[in-house]
Amino acid sequence: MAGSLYCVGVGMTLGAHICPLSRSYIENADVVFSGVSDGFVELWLHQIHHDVRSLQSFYGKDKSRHITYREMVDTMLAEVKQGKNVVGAFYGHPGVFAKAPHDAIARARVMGYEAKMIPGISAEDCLYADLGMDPGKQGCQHYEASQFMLYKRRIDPTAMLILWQIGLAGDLSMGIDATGAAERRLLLELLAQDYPVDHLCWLYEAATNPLQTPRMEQMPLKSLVFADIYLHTTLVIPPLAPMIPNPLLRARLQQLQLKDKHKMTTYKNNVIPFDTNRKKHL
Amino acid sequence: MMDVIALLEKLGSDCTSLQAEHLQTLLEESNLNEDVKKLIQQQDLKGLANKLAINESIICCAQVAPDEDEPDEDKQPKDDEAINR
Repeated sequence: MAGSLYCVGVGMTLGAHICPLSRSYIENADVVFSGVSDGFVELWLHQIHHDVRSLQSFYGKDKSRHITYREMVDTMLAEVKQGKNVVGAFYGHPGVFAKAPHDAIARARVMGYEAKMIPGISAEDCLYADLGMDPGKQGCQHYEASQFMLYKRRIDPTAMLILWQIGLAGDLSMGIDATGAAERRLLLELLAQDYPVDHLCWLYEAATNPLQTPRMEQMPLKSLVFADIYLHTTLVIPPLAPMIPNPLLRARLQQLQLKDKHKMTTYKNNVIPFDTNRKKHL
Repeated sequence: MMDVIALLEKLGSDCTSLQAEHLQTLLEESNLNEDVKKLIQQQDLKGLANKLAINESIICCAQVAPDEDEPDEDKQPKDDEAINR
């Protein structure tokens, strides 16, 4: 069937992060829809392709982002249905904290069109590099800030905690206006159940332009309430304490591995009931 | 001749271009007007956006927490519709 949809990531920093494949999809598209981080990046896309249409106009004051994202998806799919090769070019990674690209790809596939996602360098990737933090060191938990507030979570203070879209923390309107000190005070109250309010955290903003430097501002958690926080600001809370050993499981593993050292297979040891072929179990 | 966006792309993709002497050469070759060159040297993005009438008020919120009355909004796609093949 004619018509396709590719959602590609352009990375965070203009010119620095886009991969050759994503660039090629943009160059060869019939039409490109852009959902990017700033006006410089939009102009850059216009230099790569002659027909770039911004998805920005779908955002609106007092308009739910549920509606905005649905409209973005409908708009991209309308062009796919006309048999065009459509590219959605999104800042960062098109599948990380991004609703419209996932929905658009899923719907295009249901309708029988070719649809694929091409990854990009996300704010998360930049964060690890800029702050020198490794999520593998003590583990890492990621939540969208409002979701973190609205749903009960079991926080592990021995791992890193990253809250995205902290500027919209506690927003119930699903709008585009940043929330304020009152909502952040509630967030602080929630965090204070697991962290002392003097625990040092970071406010992070990735550089979107080669002339910029990332924002990396360290402060105690209690200072969040009145800090300068924008829609693209991320809260990074380093681990509060070292990881707590699990001696019981360590002993069981040692026993298991000593007992049958030479005969052990992944099937016999009965420890890893892990299905690697992703087949559905009907 | 290079315009501002092409210059920024060059700065983003060429590790040597942000070194002072290379940046100076790039700016000289660019034929950009002196005001713009100065803003780039000063890394004044706000000034550059104003000068070039670039919209800075772009919204980049990307995810929504599900409404209680819209429980299906943020469900992961059923089956394997979203898996790249």
